[in-house]
Amino acid sequence: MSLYSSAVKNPITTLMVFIGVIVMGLYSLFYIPVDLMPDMDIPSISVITFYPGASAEDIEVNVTKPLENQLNALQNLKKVTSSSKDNISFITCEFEYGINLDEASNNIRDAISLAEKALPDGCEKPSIFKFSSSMIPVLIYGIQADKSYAALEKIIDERIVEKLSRIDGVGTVSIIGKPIRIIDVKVDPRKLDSYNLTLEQVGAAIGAENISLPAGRIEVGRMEFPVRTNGEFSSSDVVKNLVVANNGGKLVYLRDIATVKDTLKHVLVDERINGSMGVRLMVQKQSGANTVKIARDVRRKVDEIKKELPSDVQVVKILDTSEFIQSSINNLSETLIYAFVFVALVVILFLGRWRSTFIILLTIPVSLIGAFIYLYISGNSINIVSLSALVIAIGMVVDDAIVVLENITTHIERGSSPMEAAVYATREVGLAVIATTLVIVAVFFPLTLVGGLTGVFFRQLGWIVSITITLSTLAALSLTPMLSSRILKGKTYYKHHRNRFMEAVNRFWGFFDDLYVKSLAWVLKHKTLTLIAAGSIFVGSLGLVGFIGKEFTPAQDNGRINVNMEIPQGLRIDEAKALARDFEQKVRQKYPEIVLVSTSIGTDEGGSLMSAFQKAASYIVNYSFMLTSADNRSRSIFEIADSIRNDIKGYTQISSSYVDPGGTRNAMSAAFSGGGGNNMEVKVLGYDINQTNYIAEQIANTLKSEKGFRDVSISRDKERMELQIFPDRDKLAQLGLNTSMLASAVRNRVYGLTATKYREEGTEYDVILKYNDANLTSVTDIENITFKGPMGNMVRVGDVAKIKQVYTTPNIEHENKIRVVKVVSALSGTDLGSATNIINAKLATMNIPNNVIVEIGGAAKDMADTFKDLMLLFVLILILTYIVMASQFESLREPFIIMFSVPFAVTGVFIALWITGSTINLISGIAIVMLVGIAVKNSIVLVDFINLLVDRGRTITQAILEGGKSRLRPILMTSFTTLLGMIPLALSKGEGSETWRPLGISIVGGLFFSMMISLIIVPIIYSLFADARIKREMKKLQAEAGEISFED
Amino acid sequence: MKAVFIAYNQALSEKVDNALKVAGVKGFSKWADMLGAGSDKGEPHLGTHTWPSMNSGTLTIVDDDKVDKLLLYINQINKVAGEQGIHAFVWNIEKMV
Repeated sequence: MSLYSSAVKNPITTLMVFIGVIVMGLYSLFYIPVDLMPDMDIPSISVITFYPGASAEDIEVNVTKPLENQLNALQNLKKVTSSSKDNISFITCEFEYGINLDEASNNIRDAISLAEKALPDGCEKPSIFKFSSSMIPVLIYGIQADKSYAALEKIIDERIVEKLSRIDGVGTVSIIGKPIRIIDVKVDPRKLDSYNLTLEQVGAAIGAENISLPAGRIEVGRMEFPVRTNGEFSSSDVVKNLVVANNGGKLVYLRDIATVKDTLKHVLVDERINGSMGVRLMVQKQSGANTVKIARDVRRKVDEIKKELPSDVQVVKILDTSEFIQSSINNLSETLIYAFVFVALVVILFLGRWRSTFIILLTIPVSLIGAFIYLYISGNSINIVSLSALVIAIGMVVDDAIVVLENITTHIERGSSPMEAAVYATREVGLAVIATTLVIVAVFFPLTLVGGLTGVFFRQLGWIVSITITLSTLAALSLTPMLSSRILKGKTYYKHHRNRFMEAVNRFWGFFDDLYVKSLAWVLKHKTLTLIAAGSIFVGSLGLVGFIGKEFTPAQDNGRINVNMEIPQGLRIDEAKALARDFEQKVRQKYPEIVLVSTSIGTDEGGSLMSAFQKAASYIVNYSFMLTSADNRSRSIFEIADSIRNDIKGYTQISSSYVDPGGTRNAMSAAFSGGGGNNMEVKVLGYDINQTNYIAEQIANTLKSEKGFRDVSISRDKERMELQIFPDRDKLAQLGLNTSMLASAVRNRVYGLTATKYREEGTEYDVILKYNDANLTSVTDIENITFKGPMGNMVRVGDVAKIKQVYTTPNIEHENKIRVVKVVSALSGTDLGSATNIINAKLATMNIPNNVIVEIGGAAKDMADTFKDLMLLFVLILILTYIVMASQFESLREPFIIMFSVPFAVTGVFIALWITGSTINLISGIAIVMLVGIAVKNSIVLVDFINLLVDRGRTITQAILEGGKSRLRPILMTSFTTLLGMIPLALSKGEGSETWRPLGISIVGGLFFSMMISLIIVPIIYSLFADARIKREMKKLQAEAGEISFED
Repeated sequence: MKAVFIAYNQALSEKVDNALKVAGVKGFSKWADMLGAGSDKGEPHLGTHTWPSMNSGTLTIVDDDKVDKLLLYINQINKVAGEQGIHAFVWNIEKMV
């Protein structure tokens, strides 16, 4: 028994099956995490190697090169990039999307173990670092304090970090820029000399005092007591009263030679929130956890914690990634509801019957909810891709039900009982319904196979549309006939219950039917004219391409602007601070849209992991501005960014700067926040640093003068001045010294020597000795540093070494083992496509030596790669659709005729993009690919029916006119449901809408245009082909007749 | 005894079955899927893509007095659903075992 007849015969079972699907779908919905983007693990793994004391060039030759040589041979590798800086080598291996990262990291481990032998002795073991989406902070809080600032470290650790870490799903909670308490011992070198002491001796003396040593045990009668010497400092005050030496019977106290303070470490970091001192608290999630839920839990917990904190400690939210996700998702859910309403309106306006409308609309929840089951089982999340897929599907899932119901109604009007009509009418159209579904699946299923970054967008879209469409077909073949058999009324019912609304609707559409037939008759008489007109419209639309901008992904207004300002290197942090405070003031006054300003200068530690990701130094000011949400302000982040750029021009002390709307400069945040504009990157590859610097400089200068290019900057830092101490080894040796002794002596005095740790309430604080700041102000002061040799003799640094000012290259970057300098710039008022053209034109005029390669990278390269992928996909899908249709029609001719609607879909997309001022990008590219399926669907219905009528004995013209009249309404109806389902998407304005608006615009434009054109052009092409066939057959007949007569 | 052969669009199955029941006919033979076309009007029922509908056929041998009653019901069906197609043919039965 067939699906539909068993469905009609077992209505309860049918109902229960679909209720089961809905219940499972709703159950899944509760457990699906909500996120912005589909899960995409960035397929890159970094290898980080510390080599303390080595310069960038040493690191490049001794660490980066041997490692790169081994890593370069890895499988599935896309490229290896590296950055060699002082003390640290940072190599990133980028793999193809979709590879097994665990396997890749094992391979990397093997490669490293091979390279390790070649690494220098002092070099630390390379460590592997895997990127993952869970590393992106879910929330960043700023914590400010006045009086409690000194105790902030302890308050944060005990009262905030511990509590937040216990929340389910929270990965790590880390703190940036927290004040560190130390016991600071500043020694006066002249006093040291006068007592004939060295810093090391003082340090050893302090360390020797702070001791707690078990001394065994003694037995006293029946008891046993452990014995312990306890010299641990009972309070920090003890330190200054320690005796550090005995100078001829006179005790030398530490306070005699040094100032001792229980204070905060003098850090080279300055973190401010809205201009007042504070630290940043970063909450990261465990991988796979629900960002929105975690953010909600953390916010609630923080609100609780706030009450328990001292009154001067303020906790402010700096960043909440969940807000953007939440509002994007809410926007899209709203769009989904509007789409549903529009589809419902279309159905009721075409059918005029509420019972039929109800039956058709019921397929929407059934098929859409089915998609949630898929998301749950496949472990995916609800994100903007999966929700847009649902919006796309909503107008298409009703199509099958419409076709089935239309035929059932026809049968009922001919006098069948609803019960019988349901079964037989469904059987009549069952095959056609399955065929159109196959075409749609032929378009969307290949999307699931796309690799690369585009695949991340396409995969879910492909799966969701394929699944919902398949489900909708199943529902149309079972649920729809079942409900029709129960709900619809027979012909006799309507004799007694007149439906005036339906009659009005029928009259209205009858008018359109007649109009269409009249125009169709006219164009059939003027085929050449019509074809020429259509052809010129198509060619003309291709000409529009020149006027439409091209970009990779649409820029998003995510309410964030990052600003980076650099003052000349070598200037003290105080200079940067003064600049930062002034700029903060100005920005806060001038832009009321900015609700939060968070500033950061310098880094915690020179060689920390963060420094590899973010450029930070004491001469760099990093701002992060948070703005009100996009709906609440009149200026976009891009406009504000342009205005801020002008403000920066007023500061003459700034050597370079960039304003980064959306925060896309930082590779990590760009991949996950999905915001901001497009960056243009020109890579200059070549070994000679001076040569490549010169070329990069030239490119940067030409770009600066071009309109549209903003914030042109060069990735290789300017050479930095260092004071370097060059030892005189002969002299050192004569004094029984070596370079290492000299180096540590200088380090202890300038950087500091940790003498011991002072313990208080279970927490340890460093006791740090160093020279007085007043005695370290010039090169001479370093020369005057004295230390003790092995023979007890005092040695002056200036006597055994020379101090020189040296310029060093602070960072050397490689790409696939070749040195590279990148010229990066933001685009404003122009698009990637034209920017690429400008750069190519400039490069052609430049004189570039043979040993230097210049290429365009960044978003422009991604764009070129993606457009190539899209073209391939487009061709593949055209072929697949042809295959499906050819086998459905058992003909090579009909699919070809039907394919004529595709070019006009493309025309429609271009016209829509041009009118709305949108760009050709990844998203509108997807739309064009999808339109192949959506556009041919209409023509399939039309051509199939005309074929049917021809077979039933009509002449070609009769068949075309009659078929057109009878199919006009179903075609308009299915097109308008899809089209109006997309309208809310095309018009949406909220946060994150920039991404999917081009999709809506393209599909609305493409579908509308292809529908209009295919209703006219496809019949003409059909008749041309049919005429040709008739002529051919006539000739054949005549020839056969001739043959017969010849035989006679 | 007369033989009544009813050829009708499958979509009318339910109605024909009812007509037999109401006319008091118990015994019958039925071909559920049958191809056919009418002589003067109506669509062919060929189960093809062009003509997707199909016929059913019911052959019943009834007492003479039930024939008119049955034909009356069939005619009623034809009146309501003439476009679907239904025909009944009657001839004599000479012997039966």
